[in-house]
Formats: sequence, structure tokens, C-alpha cells
Amino acid sequence: MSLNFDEFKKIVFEQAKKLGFSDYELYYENSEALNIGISEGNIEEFINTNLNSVYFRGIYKGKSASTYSEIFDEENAILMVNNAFEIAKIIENDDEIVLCDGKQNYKNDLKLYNEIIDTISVKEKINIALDYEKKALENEKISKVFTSNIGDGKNYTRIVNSKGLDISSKTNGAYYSIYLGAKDSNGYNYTKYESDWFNSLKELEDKKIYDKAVKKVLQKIGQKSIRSGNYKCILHKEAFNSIFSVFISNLSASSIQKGFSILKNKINKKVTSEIINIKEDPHNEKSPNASIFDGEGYPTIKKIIVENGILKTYYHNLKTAKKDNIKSTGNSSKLGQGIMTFNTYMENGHISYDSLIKYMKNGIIIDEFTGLNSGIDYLSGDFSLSCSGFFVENSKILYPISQIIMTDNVFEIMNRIQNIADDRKEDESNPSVFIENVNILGD
Amino acid sequence: MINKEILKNLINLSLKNGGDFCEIYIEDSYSNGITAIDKIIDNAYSFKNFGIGIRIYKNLKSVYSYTNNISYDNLKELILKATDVLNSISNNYQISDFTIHNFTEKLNIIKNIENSKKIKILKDLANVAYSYDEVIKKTVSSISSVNKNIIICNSYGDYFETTRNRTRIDFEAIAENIDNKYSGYENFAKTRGYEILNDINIENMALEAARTAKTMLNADYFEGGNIPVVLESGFGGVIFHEACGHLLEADSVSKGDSIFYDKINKKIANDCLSAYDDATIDDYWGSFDIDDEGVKGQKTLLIENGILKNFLTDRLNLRRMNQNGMNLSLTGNGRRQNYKYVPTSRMSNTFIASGNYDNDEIIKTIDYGLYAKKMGGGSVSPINGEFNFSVQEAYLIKNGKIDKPLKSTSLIGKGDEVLFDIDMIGKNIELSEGTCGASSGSIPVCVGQPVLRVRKMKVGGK
Repeated sequence: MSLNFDEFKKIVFEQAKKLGFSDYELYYENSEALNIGISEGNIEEFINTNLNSVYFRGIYKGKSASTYSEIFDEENAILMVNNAFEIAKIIENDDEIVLCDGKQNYKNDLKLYNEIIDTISVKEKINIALDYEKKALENEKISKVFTSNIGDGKNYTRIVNSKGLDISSKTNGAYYSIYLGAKDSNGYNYTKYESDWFNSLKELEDKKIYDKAVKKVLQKIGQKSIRSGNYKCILHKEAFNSIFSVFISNLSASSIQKGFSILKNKINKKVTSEIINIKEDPHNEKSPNASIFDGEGYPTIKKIIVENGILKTYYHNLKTAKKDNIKSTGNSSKLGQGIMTFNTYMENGHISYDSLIKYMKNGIIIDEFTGLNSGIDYLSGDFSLSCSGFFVENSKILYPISQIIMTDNVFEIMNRIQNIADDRKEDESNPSVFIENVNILGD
Repeated sequence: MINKEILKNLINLSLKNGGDFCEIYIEDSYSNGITAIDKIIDNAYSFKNFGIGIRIYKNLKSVYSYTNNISYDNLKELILKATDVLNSISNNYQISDFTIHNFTEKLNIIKNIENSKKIKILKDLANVAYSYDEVIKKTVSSISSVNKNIIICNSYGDYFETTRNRTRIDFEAIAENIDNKYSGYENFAKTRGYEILNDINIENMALEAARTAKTMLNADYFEGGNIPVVLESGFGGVIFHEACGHLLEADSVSKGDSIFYDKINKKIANDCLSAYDDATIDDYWGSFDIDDEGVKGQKTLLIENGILKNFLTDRLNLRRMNQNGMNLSLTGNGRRQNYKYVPTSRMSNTFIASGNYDNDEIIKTIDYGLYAKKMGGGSVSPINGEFNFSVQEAYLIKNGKIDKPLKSTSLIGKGDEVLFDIDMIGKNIELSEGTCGASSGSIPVCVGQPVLRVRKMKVGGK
């Protein structure tokens, strides 16, 4: 028989106490989502879901063990505790585990649930996706819209533990995405994927996501390779984002302590070019990653990560913070399993994107990397990636380029950034940047 | 899990509300794993997953709902919400009884073993790697296993039951000097239970990962170029998987989005190249008895002496293709990661068949080129066939001999061009395990090939 969360929790906590766990907690999640995909005027995809899931963490003789279940009955309540008990007995990692007691200050006035999204009907969503496909196809050069997607989801999270923590939050969000193609006169296909979040239909209309995709794909027509060599380069914010996120992932205190990051022992040392400032603001309601508390219920906080190129802090959860004898930075993923960020961003520079092109004068713009799933070595930072963008001469974009490879290193690039545009929007993670010299393999 | 009467009622409700096909997929799975960092057991997990996915078609419209709340009211509400968008009139057809197809009988599967045995293997791997060389400063070893019970029933009145067990071991050795870290990686994975631990050669696995890590730490960068490339057997087949395999999946073919959609019985590759997708090889990582739509796994000839012979199909895309006059059959390639994904056409074990050359013979033909000993992953755009790969371990080929190691190289090209550029194929085929990610999630596959030569490829470096 299916139990509600409170009934399930009662059984889990009783069993945990019985087996001798010194502390224990549950992370419960209830989510609902709907995604509608349109292609060629038809509903190609309609995916509708509601799910419940729960993580358990228990501390036994100082060792932490976690289990997960999607079934809410008595048998599985007992089983998830028993399995955790078996796991705790084999763990050898001695790091001290601390659970959050919920006595900290929380930014409870944060508004993370937008009721307006709930008022948009299924029919309205279908019509929007149909309408945007049609609008994209009004441009005769657009050969096909592979999918015009609209979706939204809501999430309820509750963390309860034996230290007295009982905290919950409800969030939601809605997005639109479009994937389309254009053909050149030889029949060669160019494609572009564009997506963005929205808070209201008015905002969705204003963002004209379909129109951005159309403009971007048309700019690609006629792409060609360039000569191999060294070029001045603007990494457009969309491409630079991939490099920036690998850099950020190497600042996880968990990676640092386990020896998986080469940014070890770098606090108060230079880790990037000095014009770079990186901050985290989990309380910006416009960010889809905004949050009041992290994955173990500890309050999220605003903080400086890198100031003028100097590293100020790693990202910590309670366990890694205890090990370094400092306070958690509120960056725990679910039940302290690892580290996650909540709206980390690199600050804008002081010149516009167009001025940055003038500043470069001659060189290339890279606006897309492909092969990111395997092309970056997170350990060394080395990457060799296929990319595309534009060739720039005398501050003018001459033609689109592709089928070229950039080979470089994430950590070196972060130190070679010489100028930064002011084109990051509030809900984005980074602006576009300029680098004096990159190596390109072309023809 | 859910009784057959209820499943039948749900299918009939879907038909009554306008569906012309309904399929219910139920999954109850238990997975567990242990990870050691160096010789310390760092982490372990135990996951219980359970859920149901209901898919309904009306012609080419497809709606899908999934949940783990299996109360009849919730399932009914999901079906009504989904069928509402089909805008279709009631279907008079209803099913009365299911025909049962049971595939759960598996011999000698060991679903779990004592943790102490797993821990010994994890620590042995670390010990061997550390003994290889002092530059090895870190190791990560893990053993994981999943046991999945699946029921698939549909409005044709078929009711399938099957059990899938998959077990794998992963090992990473990290070599480190003052400036940098490089890793070497090996894995062993089978569609079996824990009995596979008897087949693993711990020493070879650990030494091989450690050797790669040390080699790459000391490797030079490569200046790049458009040069001949020799791809090692086994995981070298990832190139074929990306550059061709994905373009033969009905998912992109049926909508005319693949560059190969109109090429059946036409030449798409060099004469020396034949290729298969084969889900029936016993215990292999990409093998299965039935796919996630209840269709039996098969061996499918994809390319014969350079001529395209078939595509990999799933139910919905086959329906679309045949409405467009293609007259193809189901090949049993409808796959998904779990109930949270809609199945679509995906590869199983996909490989290039063996050719006529000895490996040395192939290397000897090259004055200046690249030998890609271990490939990383890659990706492809089916729309224009552009692909890219990272190479985990590469060497320069100079005057017909393998020369120094090279780091941080990648290969790019176009699917329709590279298939013609594969011009020498070795005799000995090998298959390697991998994970393929696409719209229906991450699924286990094998890629494979003998050693082969590509006469020219763009190789990145600096």
C-alpha cells in the first residue's frame, strides 16, 4: 500500500533508530512536468509526468550511507534503511559528517514559485509552440523546424532529519526551445538550437526565442574553414560558457579534497586573469538556479568566488567545510553527496560586444563548440574541440566559419582573458571574452 | 507489479479516448554500487526505481505519461489529460485477453555477492596500479550492478515480461606531476550478474589504465593536420557509431532528417566496408532478448560492401516511414534508459565486419599519420553528418612505424565522407562497451571494428 510522506518518514526514522544510526535524514521530492513538442504542425511529443522520490542518509559509527527509493510502502521504507546500514558498515572514508539543524538564518522571503505559469492552459501552450514554428518558417530560407518545444515543471522539496530540521520549498519554471535548420543553395543543412526560460507569456513573446534561432542559423549559411594558425579570438558567451563551467566545477571542495582538481591550495592566489570577478547569488529570483537552502537544508549565501583574479573560496557543503575547519558555503547537492552551485556568474566587463569586436579588429569569433560531452578533460583542462563562428577583418564580420578545431586548456584560457564584454544578462552565467592568441586547425 | 485486469482497463481506456495504439511499460529495478578512491571505500549506493510509462498513438501523434504513483485514479487522469490533445474520436476496438510472452528465465545469474568480495577487487585494482609507477597518484575503482524487471503490454494484446541484469567494473588511474594530471581508463561490462567478476583480469585492467595515464602525462602536443589515421579495433568503432550508426536510426531517417534517408540500396561507403547491428550476441553490453517495445532483438545487416541495406527501426518511426512508402520491418531497436523516457530507435552492438589486412600491414602504408589507440567519446549532427571525437591515447605514425605518444588530439569530419575514406580494414574484430546518450536517455551499447585506416582526417592539436 502506498504511504504518504509523513507515514513513510515515521517508519524510516523508527527503523533507523532501531538499527542504531546516530543521525538520519530524508530528502523528499515531488515533481510534475509537461513538455510539448511540435513539428510540421503536429504534436510530435507530449510528455506528462508526476513523480515522487526519496533519498535517505544515515550516520552509523561516524560513517554516512545513502539510499534512494521511488516506492512509498512499508517494505521499501524498511529496506532503504537496512540497505543503508549494510553500506555504512563498509564505508572507510573517515570524514566527519554533520547534519544541518536548521537553526541558521534563511532568506525566507524569496519568491521561487510563479503562479502565473500555472494559469497557462495546455491549449495555449500547444498554440504557442505551433505559432512559433509557423513564424520561424515564414522566413523562406528556413527549411525545417525539427522541434518547437514548450514545457514547464514544478518541484516540491522537503528535508527532514533527526537534528530537528524540517524545511521545504516549492519552485517552478517554464521554458521554450526551438531547433531548426536552413539550407544553402547546394542543399547543405545548417542547424541551430535556442532555448530560454520565461516567467509570463508577455516575457516569452518579448524574448522572441524563435526569431533569435532564425537569425543565428541564417548567419551560418556559407560556413567555410579557415587556414590553420594562431588567431585573436572572441569567445562568444554561449561558447565560453562551456569553458567557464569546467573551471567552476574544479572549485568544488569535494574535488579539491579528494585530489581531483589542479586548483588545490589556491585560496588567495591568482587563478584567472586579474580582470575577472566571479560571484554567486542564490537569491536572485530571476535565476532558474535560485534557492533558499542547499541539498542538505543549509542556507544558501551570496559570496565572492574570485576577486580580481584571486580565488576567495571553494564551494563547500557541511562535510568539506568541517574538514577545512570553516563554515559551509551552502553548496551541497542532495544530502551532502557532493557539491552544486546556485547561480554562479562572471561579472560583466566595461565595453559592449560590438566594441569588443572593434577592440579585436582582426581575428575570429567562436560562438559554438561541439563534442563537449567528451572533448574536455576535466582533470587537466585540456580540450580539442570542433567549433564554429565568424571570421573578422577590420572590425567587420566577413563570413561564417566551421569545421575547425581549437586545441587549448581551460585553466590557461582563464588566465589569458584580456577583455570582457558587458553582454551577460541577469539570468546568464558569463559574458563574452577576448583572448589574444588561440591555436586553430583548419585547412 | 500491477495486475493484468487493471492494465487491460487502462489500455482500453486509451483506445476508447481516441488512441489507435497503446503501450504500457512498467519497470521495477534495483541497482547498487561501491566506489573506492585509492584503497579506501569512499562511497556506496543502493537505488530502488519503480515507475510506469503509458504511450498512446493516434496515427503519427504520440503522447506519453509516466509516474510512480500507480493508483488507478492517477493513471486514469494521466491518460485523459494525454488523450485530450489527440483530438480524436473514440476507437471501437478493445482488447479482451493478453497473450503472455515470458523472457524472465535466465540461467546462472548471480544477482548479488558479499560486499567483501567486491571490496577485494576494488582494492586489488588500486594496488596493481600503484605498483606500476610512482607517477600514479590516485585511482578510482567501482563495481555496479542493476537488476531490472520489466513488463511491456500493448493494444495488440501482447504482454511481455523480462529481466535484465547488467554488471560493470570501471577503473581510472591518474598520473600526476607538478603541473598536471592525466588519467587512463578501463572498464569491463556485461549483460549478466556478478558471475562476470570471475572473468575479469584485474592485473591487466589496472596496468593498462596506469600505462595510459603515465603515457599521456609524458606525451607531447601535436601540431594537427589533415593526415591518414589508423583507428584501433574495439572502441575505435565509436567513429562508425557516431558518423554512421546514428544516421541509420529511424528516429532521424523517418523525418527525412538524416543525410542517408534516401540511400537504401545505394552506395554510401567504400566497397571494403560491411556493418551490422546485433542485439543477439550472448551477454554483450548492448544485447537484449526483447527491446523496450517488446520486439525481439535481432542481427541487422546495415551496410554490405558499401551498399546501404537497412535502417534501425522502432514502432512509431516505422509507422511514419511506411506511410512514406518505405516498406520496412521492425528490427527490434526501440530502446530507452528507463520509464522516464519515450523509446525510440537506438543501436545495440554495432560494428564494422572484418576485412583482409594484418594490423602491421596497415600501419606500414603510412609515412606520416596518427594512430588512435584509445578513443574518447564523440558526437554527431544527423542533419549534416558533422562529427567530432576526442582521442584518449594517440601516437604519431612516422615512416610506417608507431612513433611518440601525443596528447589532446581530436578528430572531426563528415559522416558521408569518412565512410568512403575507410580504405583498409583489418582481420580481427573486437567489441567494446560504451554508453550512448540520445533523446531516449543513456543506454548500454557496444561499438566495434577491426583495426582500420582512414585515408585522411582532420586531426586537431596545438
